[in-house]
Amino acid sequence: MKRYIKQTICILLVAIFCGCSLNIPPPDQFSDPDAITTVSTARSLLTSAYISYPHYEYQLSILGEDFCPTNLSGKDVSQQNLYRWQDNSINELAGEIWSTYYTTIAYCDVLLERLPNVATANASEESEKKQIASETKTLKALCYFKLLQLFATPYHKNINADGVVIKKRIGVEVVARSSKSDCVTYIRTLLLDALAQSADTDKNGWLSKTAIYHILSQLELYAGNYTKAAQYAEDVLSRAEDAWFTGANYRYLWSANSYEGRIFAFNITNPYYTSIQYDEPNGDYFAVNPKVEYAMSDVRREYNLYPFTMAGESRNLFGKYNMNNRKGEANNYVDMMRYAEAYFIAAEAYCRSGEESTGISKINHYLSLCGANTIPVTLTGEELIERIISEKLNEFVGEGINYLDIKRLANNDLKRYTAWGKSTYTTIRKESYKWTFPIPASEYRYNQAVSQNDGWPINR
Amino acid sequence: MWLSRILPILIIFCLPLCVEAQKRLTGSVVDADRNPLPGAAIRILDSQLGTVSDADGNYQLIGVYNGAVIEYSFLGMTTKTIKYRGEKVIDIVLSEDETQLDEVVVSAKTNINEIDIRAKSGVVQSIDIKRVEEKPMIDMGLALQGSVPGLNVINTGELGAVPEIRIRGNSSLRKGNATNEPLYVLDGQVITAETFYNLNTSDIQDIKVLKDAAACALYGVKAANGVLEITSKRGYEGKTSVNYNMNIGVTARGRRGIEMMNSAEKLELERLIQNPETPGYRYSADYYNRFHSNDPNLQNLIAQGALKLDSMRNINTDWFDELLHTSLYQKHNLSLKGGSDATSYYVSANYTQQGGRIPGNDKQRMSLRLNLDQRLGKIGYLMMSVNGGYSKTNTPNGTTNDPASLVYDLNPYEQKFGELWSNPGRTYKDLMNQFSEVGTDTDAGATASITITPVQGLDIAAVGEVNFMLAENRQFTPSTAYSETHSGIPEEERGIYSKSKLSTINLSSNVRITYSKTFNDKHDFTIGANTDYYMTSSDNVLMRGYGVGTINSAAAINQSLQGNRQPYVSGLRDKSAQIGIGVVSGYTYDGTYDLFATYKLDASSVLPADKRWNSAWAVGAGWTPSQYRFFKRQRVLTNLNLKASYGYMANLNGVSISSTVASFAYSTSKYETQRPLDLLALYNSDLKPEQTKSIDAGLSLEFFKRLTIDVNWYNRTTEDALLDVPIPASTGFSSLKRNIGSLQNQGVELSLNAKVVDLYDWTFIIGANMAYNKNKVLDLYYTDKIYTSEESIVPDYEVGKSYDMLYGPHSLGINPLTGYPVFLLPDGTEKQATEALKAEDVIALGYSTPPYTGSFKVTLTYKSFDLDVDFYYSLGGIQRYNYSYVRTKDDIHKNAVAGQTENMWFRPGDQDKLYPTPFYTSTTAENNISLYPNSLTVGSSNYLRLSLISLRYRVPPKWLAQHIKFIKYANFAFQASNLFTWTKYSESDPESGTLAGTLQPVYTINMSLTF
Repeated sequence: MKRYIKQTICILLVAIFCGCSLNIPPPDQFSDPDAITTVSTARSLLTSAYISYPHYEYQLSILGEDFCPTNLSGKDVSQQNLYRWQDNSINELAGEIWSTYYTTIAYCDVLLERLPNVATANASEESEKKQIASETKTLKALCYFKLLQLFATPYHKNINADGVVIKKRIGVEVVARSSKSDCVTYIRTLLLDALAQSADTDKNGWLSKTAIYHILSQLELYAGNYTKAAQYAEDVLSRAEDAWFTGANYRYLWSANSYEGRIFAFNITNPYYTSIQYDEPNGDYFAVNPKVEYAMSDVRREYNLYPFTMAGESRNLFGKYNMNNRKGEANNYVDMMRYAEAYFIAAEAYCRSGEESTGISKINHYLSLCGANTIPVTLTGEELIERIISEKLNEFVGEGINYLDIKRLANNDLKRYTAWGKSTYTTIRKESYKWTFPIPASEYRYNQAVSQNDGWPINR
Repeated sequence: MWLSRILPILIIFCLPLCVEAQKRLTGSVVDADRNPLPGAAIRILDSQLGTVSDADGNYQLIGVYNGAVIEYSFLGMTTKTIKYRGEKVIDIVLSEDETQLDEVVVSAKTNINEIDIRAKSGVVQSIDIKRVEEKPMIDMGLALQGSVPGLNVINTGELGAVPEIRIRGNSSLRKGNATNEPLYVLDGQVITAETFYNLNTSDIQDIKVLKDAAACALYGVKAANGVLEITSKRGYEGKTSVNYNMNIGVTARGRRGIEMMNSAEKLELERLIQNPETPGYRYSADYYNRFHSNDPNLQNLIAQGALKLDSMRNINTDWFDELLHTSLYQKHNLSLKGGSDATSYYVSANYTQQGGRIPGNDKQRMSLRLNLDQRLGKIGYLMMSVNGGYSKTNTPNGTTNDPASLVYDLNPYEQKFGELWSNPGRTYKDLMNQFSEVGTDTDAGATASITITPVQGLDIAAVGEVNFMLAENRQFTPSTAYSETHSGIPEEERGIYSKSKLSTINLSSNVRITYSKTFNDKHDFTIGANTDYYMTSSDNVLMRGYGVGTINSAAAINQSLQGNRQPYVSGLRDKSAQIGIGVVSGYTYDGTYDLFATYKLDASSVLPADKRWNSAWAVGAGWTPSQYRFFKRQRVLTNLNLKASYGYMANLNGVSISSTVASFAYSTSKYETQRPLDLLALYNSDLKPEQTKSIDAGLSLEFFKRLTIDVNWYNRTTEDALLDVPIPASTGFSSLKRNIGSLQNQGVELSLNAKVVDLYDWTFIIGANMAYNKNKVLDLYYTDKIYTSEESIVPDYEVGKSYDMLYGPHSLGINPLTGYPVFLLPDGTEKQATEALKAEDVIALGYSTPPYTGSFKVTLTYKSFDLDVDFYYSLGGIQRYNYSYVRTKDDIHKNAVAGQTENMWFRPGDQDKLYPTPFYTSTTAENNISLYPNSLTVGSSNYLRLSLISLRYRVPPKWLAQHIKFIKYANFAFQASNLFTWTKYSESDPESGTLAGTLQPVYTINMSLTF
């Protein structure tokens, strides 16, 4: 009856307004169900996902051992508070990190949901569709892995403890956090799925097959599956060339162009790493930790450190992206995965699985390519691992990797220094609750199923 | 559900139709040459009802009834009487020739959507447009403040800022104009809010405020927030008359509010707070004794410092006077009207300009209108209107250093030259001319309507209209601005220019058929049907470029720039349409019983195809016992009318297609060689329109034909209320538009009008009105409370609570030991501010939207003098104090409020202090103070404003006829708006709660000449 009335009315209205249709597609938008139906729109949506990936490398470096304060650190209280691991600052950072990584995950999920409807006309479109699916899954896995590293306690401490929230669909759902081991299994499945569909890519900005091997090696190292980790790291290294690590080639890693020596780097258009700079003439809020040292012959020295006169002395400010900014050169790529890391992962994994000499020779191979001092073959056990991690800091200073390593190992207290690292301001105990980021209020307030990490407040 | 839709249709078709019990008659009184006769007396014989025609000869007579005998009189003219038979408009011609026969011209020219049967049971109130016109204010919206109870207008800031206009409160949980603003309809044409704000009051014949569902239902889904129906002035049959009306005057600075420190007090406070970046400490003996104690020159340094401080104490710059200024107001209006018995016209042109209190903030407006009416034989007429307008608002505000905030920042010992302590590294010059913004609105509209009456009682009317609006905004930061020269930007990249253009086209068409018939002089029936179609299309383009230097133009953009200073272009287009069909029916028995019903079915393109159709319906009844014969025998209660209505409407305001379906758009960024396609919002495919149900009851009383009292009660419930609710961050989005709950607005409106004196030479009328609105969240579907921010300890929406309540702890004042407040908890215990606050620690501090608003009006006429005085008041609300002018160690380099030294806690033992310690010692306490208001940091926002004074002298026409023949009528007036505000609120503006905004007083002289 109701339908009949409506139909009659519709016919009448059409007669009266001839042509006044209510099916008005938005002129410059694409709406479902016809929005994502071609490989090119799917690639564009994936592009949005890449762009939405957040960059907290600087903040994680502040939390790690990468930097020490300068005489200007007090000028930006929020950065100083973060360096001192103040609860409020960590809480604020955790809130941003949580929501931004999940935004990227949401983009990936939106795309994965629509991908089956993407039509392909030929074989090349079909392989592009597979590649898009692979990259989307890899990106999603990358986000989940980062979240797990930051918001869960170190993996080896009770693998059944809370990990992160694994989303089952787009939109609102009340879901508890999955256990750490379930999270690892989920991420591994995503990556293996992606690997099956993956191909190599031409630009640094797209996630390639090598990138998948690389994340797998990181994941297995994190989960303590050292044999697997070493195996995947070897897969990565099988694609590397020694020449990339020698002489002046190191500088291409910080150049504005795509470079085969990178595994994967996010392409950016916005300024990067500018927050470290106080201003052009006076210097930076943070300098490189004096612990980070390079032999004179080390090719990395020139690019990782930036000598600059502050408070009357020449100081080692951070090089890499910061050096580009100071020299007025563009930062077009954020190095996320470098072949060098595979040497460190392989070395640590071999050492932990009882093949210490293989591990040492692996890492020394890389160090000697760079012109750095090698690790003494006499080192063993925890001492050896510590040395590898400290060499890793030299390599990846300012890239936010050290914080995740020291958190993963949970072996040592962390010192917070006064200006130029001259004395200790405070010490963060290795047992401190602060090592695990708090679940932000933006999650627990609206998702009653989610639990808070120990030591952090919950105010529902 | 099925029954609820069918029932109203049945009622409509089973109902017969009506004639008004108490009618409103409008028209004009002119002389034989068709010149208006201002001041003509119009009275209903054997009653005290009457009125006087205005400067244009127009009049409005309320309370007229069928059979009443109306008398029109004017000095030197023949008095005429006519018997009233239910006409809407009566234009009368008075002649000097006593033998001439009465001539009555009845025309039905009106807004075609206006159906008077609505008024029998619905709430339709008219705005006294004469008073609105008398107010010298450039913003039409703000001039409506206090005109009708329940039409709430709030100024939100500086001159030209968009006001908040609401009818009976917010009908949605979503805040803001997009979702709560009423619908504006000009001569049957839906217009944008901006077009409405910029209308010329002189062109308006009448504004009706439609408040309840019975009145609004015919407009369907767009009208859930009420409707303002505007009718423009039209021509008349007669010789061309030309009117020139002018206001010229000054605008003043307005309320000072906060008294800031003088130099002596400021320097002393600086010494106490001990920030070496302030001269009061830097040059004090304290400083030298502490940092130069071993200096052999110590005494000399101290003496030099004292000398320096002495000279600074002698400078006392009053930055309120320096930065805010008086400015000019002018308004010129020229109109022509006239016509023959077949064709009539009205043409007008207007220019208005108002200068703001902040230099660089002003607004000007121009408008043109042509209304043309053509009679079509004996059965119909054609009405056409063309209108255009242009308005321009300049503002320097938009950066951190706007002049309004500098009033509170600059120190009294600082001057317009030399480096500023308050802004290190800058001089006064570096603060001025840093930014400018120009907003222009251009609108044009055309309407054509045709009305045919083929048989008596049957009206067929059709109207079609197009309204075009172009809103432009230009922002300019010159390369010389401090922000450009001091942030490491290379010289060739300095200077920012941005421009946005938003063009909106509204198309609408509307066809209405109405049939009215009276049987046996007792039964009045009206039945009608209408269909309408509305289409809105908007196109938004933005461009921004850099390197323009000091040239305020897009042409100067440096196109070669790369990186984050490369030129930027973006655009967004949107289009939506709506179709509706409705029926209406009314019946009146003997002027005593009224019944009314209406039903409307609407479909919107915004909703998915299967959920497109929404209905709105209303039923109402009225009863006028004063029509009974026995009632008419007594003379005390001369009119008694009761009415009630119930209605149901849907509301879709603020919903776009991306809220319901996954929608993507290309963004301007890039990645490798790809363009990204962004998901616009998290979509909710279950989204439904809000459903509004309202019950209204009204009572009208009239005593001795002199005192009228109107009382209206309403209860409006919004179900399926939409809200952008926060959702878990793991969704990747922060909010989702959802049908979240139901809310209620309940209120009473009261108006009172008394003719205290009504003599031949003297009339004295007083009026008062008051509106009370209370809102409450009735239900939330997924939870019992919603927090819209992560910090809030008190939910923003909670079942059973008002949704505009401010919550915070009750403060007992500053603890003499800690320097931070102590809170008294609801359980009677005390809590130090240094401890974290919990939800159970806070109490309701008061309403952020004042629940009581209203006005008082006085009209006094004596011979050729008219005096109108209006007051507007707002009661029961609170505003949180800004307190940015109370300085701590971190910002003591800026000026502070007078008395801070005395009222601030400095050391343990300081008793009875008002302000907490200036030294940051507890993060929790600082958060508790900054995040939440407490009972001592809010103030009552009650105020009483003298909003209008108009004193007019009408030059006697006889004198003009003898001395200045070419002028037919002339009158002169002093007119002023927003002259004074009485309030206890200690900051500058209790209304907007901002330091920058306050309605500025405008004083003008007015002259009106008719040729």
